[in-house]
Amino acid sequence: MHLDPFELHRPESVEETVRLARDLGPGFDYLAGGTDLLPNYKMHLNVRPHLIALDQVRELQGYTPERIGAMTRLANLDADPEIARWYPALGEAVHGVATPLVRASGTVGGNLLVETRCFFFNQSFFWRASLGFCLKADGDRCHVVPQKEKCYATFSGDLAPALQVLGATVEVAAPEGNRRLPLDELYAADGDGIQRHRLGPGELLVAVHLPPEARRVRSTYLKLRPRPSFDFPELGLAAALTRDGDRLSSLEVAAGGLETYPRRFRSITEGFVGGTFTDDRIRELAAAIQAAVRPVHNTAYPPDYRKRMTGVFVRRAVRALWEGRGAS
Amino acid sequence: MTRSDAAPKARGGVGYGMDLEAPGMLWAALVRAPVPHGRIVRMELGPARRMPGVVAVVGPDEIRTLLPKGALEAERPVFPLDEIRYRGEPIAAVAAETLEQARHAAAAVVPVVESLRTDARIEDVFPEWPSAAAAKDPRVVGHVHARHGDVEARFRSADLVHSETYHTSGVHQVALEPHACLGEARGGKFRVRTSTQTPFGLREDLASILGIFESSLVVEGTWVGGGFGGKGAAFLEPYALLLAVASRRPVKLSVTYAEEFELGRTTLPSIIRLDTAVRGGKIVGRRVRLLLDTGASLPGRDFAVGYSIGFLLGPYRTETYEIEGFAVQTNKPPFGPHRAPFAPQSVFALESHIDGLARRLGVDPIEFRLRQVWREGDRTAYDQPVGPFGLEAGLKAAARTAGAWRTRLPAGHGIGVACGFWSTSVGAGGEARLSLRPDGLVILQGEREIGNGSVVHGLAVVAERVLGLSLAAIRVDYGDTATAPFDSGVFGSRTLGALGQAVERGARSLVTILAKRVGASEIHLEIKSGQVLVVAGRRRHKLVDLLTPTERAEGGLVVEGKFYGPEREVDASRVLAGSVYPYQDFTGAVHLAEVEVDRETGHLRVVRYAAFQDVGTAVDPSAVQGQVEGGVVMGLGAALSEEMLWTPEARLANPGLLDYRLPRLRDVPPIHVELIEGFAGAGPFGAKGVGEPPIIPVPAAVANAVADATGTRVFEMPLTPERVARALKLL
Ligand SMILES: Cc1cc2nc3c(=O)[nH]c(=O)nc-3n(C[C@H](O)[C@H](O)[C@H](O)COP(=O)(O)OP(=O)(O)OC[C@H]3O[C@@H](n4cnc5c(N)ncnc54)[C@H](O)[C@@H]3O)c2cc1C
Ligand code: SF4
Repeated sequence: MHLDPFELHRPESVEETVRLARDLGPGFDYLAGGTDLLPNYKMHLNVRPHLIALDQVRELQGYTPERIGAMTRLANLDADPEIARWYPALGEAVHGVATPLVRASGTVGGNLLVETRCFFFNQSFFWRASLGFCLKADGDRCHVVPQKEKCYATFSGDLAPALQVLGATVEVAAPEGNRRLPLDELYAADGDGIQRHRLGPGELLVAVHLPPEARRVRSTYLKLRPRPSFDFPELGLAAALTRDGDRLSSLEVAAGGLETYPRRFRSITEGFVGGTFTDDRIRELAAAIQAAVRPVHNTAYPPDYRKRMTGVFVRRAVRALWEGRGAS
Repeated sequence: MTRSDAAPKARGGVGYGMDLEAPGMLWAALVRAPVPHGRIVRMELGPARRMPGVVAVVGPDEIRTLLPKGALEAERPVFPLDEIRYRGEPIAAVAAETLEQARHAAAAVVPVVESLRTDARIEDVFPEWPSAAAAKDPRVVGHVHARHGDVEARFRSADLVHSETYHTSGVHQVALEPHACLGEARGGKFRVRTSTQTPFGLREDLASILGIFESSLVVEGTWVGGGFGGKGAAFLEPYALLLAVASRRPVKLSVTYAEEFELGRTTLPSIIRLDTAVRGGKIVGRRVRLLLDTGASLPGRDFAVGYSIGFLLGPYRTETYEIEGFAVQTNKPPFGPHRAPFAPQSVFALESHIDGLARRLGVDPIEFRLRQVWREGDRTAYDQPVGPFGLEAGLKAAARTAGAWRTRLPAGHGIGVACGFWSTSVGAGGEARLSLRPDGLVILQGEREIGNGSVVHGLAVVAERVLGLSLAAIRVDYGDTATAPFDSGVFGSRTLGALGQAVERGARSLVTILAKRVGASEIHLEIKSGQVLVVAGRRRHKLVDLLTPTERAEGGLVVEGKFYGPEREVDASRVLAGSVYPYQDFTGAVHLAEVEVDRETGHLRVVRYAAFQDVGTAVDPSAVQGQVEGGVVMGLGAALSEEMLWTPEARLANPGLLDYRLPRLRDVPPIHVELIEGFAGAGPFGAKGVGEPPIIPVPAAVANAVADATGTRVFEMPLTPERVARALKLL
């Protein structure tokens, strides 16, 4: 597997970066740690002739507990006890990404915008050619849900659900200027596995911001995967809550590894906030979320198993947080 | 003990197949079949020939035009002449100045093919369990049927009949180094350098594929970056050599890891039915039925069935039995040997079955096994006498450890036991040339070190033991098939066991010759100030003074050690169809696993592990320990997560190391290894081959631990969380 030739650009500021992006039009990709993009390029998946490397872009570097630059390496967060203490869900999610080697290069920005995954997509050129290419790269049909003209590739980043339940917002730069939006809105709930985020052409993810409340909630992240030492999430379940006596005063649950985007279950969790919280209520919550998710058959574990585990994980995570102990 | 290859390997100083280079070398790439079963209607090679950098393109026609006639009649020609039998089968090959050019040109060859019916799985061939008549089906490429005693009567009068069906999956060797070779052809002479476990076997194989004499071909092994059985028969070499003929240049061919998976030659799935009749707490009758997927292999694969059934009968006394197995041809790549071929899968079924039976009878699983296991002097199913066998001792040792574990077993945990047996292979025998020189001993032989140390270290240790000479003064040299004496290969746990005996015999004849020369009955050797001394009682002679003028001129005293193994026999009258195989020796392995089962998710965590390995004599205890640990880790992969997944169209869905899941070090529990000595095997000093035995019982031990923890049995391996969850009725 070889990389096709490309031209590498290395801007040093956000302004320079977005200008370059505008000039290059659609024929480029941003390159952060490259741990996701380059393996895909080697499989000739949506290869572009230009790469804009982000490693020299000043504004993207470094982090504080309130603002995490997009180019922050996962290994740095993983090694920082402050992160684990302030934001357990984030610490656990970061620690669960791949291996130390991948975390040393992989970045926060790259993780939030990681390519969606599918059994029929993450394959060699020979493999895909012999099956017939699919919608997501070079083809015109979907092998997972052939009846539909939509891609169901699964969002498989670990950090997004954790940051969602912590109420993160993201800072985005565009040629027209910067904007801030809730992390949820970075992803399209009605979108598909091809257009996996809602960044406009040339838009750049600059940083993730965490609100002060994020430090006050209890949070956790549970990851379902074949090998505890490795592997993308087959389900990544994040939860955060605050408890006030027997009363649940806030609750957020989000999951990755199930659908085309990391999904926050606001409409379900809302109904549980405010009242007293009991084990029965936890079971109801788990059942409601389990019923809501729609995994498809394009990852290692079959959909019925992932769906069922969603209920188990919600119950485990929320119960542990409610009782004030770690879930993992 | 420090291995002589440790430092050079750590420094990157040894050359593997991937490192091969030659002046003027071209790079090759394969054109691979786009369908699993079909015929090539048309394949234009012209456009690829005209692409930049391309020097040669060869396909089926070039077998005819470039090779001797015999190449067309080979059992498996370089390229398929009629049918494509598996997806990705090489159907043409390209050589170009660069690897990229070769791969681009290969991708530009687009054959027009006519698809034929695909049998992706055993069930596609036999939706129902086949009757004996199936032996005539063209897709049955091996059939073994044997029986002994009045099985029906024993089943009729049994207290209990235990019947189960097991399914096993395809597992890959995953040697770290993918296959790679470099072929040269000049004036009718062929030379191939390649990463191989069997240089001489490969020479024979290649000679028949290319239609040439063995004497026209030299095979030179490189250092092998792991073999596990996958680097035996011809693989990439025929393509590289045909391209070398076409291009008149050296041609290097290596594959990507995806191709490594897709070209297969490994363990394929099986379906196993076991029925066991028990009376008075003892096994009195066995029925064993097997359907073994052998992929696109050719007829004549009885041995695959025969070996499997040997493991399915197991190391248990069997008064009466009937066995029948079929090797089934499917449109997967042909099966190939994989560390302890056929054993871990068969033993998973058998040992799960025996364990379940013991539990049904309310007998402790170890106790139940102790009632039936072979002891020295028992007879095997085919009436071969059982030799020294450490399985009973292993079971007793395991019982003590299991007892200790059980005293503090947390809720949700279970302990599983499983045993396995193996027999050191002799292969087709082997030879080594020992040259005792004034400054030390050189052992010249034809095997490359494949990683476990049995060649560069093991053979030296054997000579050290016989001669008394220190390891530092012994060198194991490698020669290609033109310069080294014959040996069968590094497989079947035979390196130390069989080639080691050739070395042992050579060393003993050195002792005999030198004892005679110094007029003593016993001698040993020493090295002092760089000089080999022959020590006889209080007398010391410099070796150099004992050599004849010819020997001195030739650099030393040279002897050939040869070992071609004793013939063993089975009672063939019990075998009604096909053939079965005698054992050289009897090597036992008993494993214990403690497993924690997550009863809501089906996830397993192997908490700790113990292996009791019958080794005969531990010639080098630390090396044996390493083999046992490595075997356990590899077995854990097959038990928990390693599985080749084929779609109904016979497409391998996970040809890569992200989705084909090997255990990582962090997934491996602490492993306690206990060596059981004193039951002599076929090797030097009573050693038994232990490269393969330690992988055998692992999947069964894990499955039995799950049954112990949950009361639920999983009938399919690997025991993925999903399968465990289904068994626990979570889904
Ligand atoms: C073996 C292996 C295992 C893995 N396991 C996991 C896992 O368990 N969990 C997991 O979450 N991930 C996993 N990954 C994926 C990946 O390594 C991580 O998600 C990583 O964090 C990606 O970061 P990166 O900087 O390397 O991204 P890159 O590969 O550089 O980029 C990923 C994508 O994001 C875009 N992008 C990156 N930064 C920006 C930005 N600032 N603005 C706009 N677009 C941007 C790129 O253009 C690209 O499309 C694995 C990868 C490998 C190779
Ligand atoms: S879900 Fe369908 S379209 Fe999307 S990557 Fe998989 S096969 Fe392709």
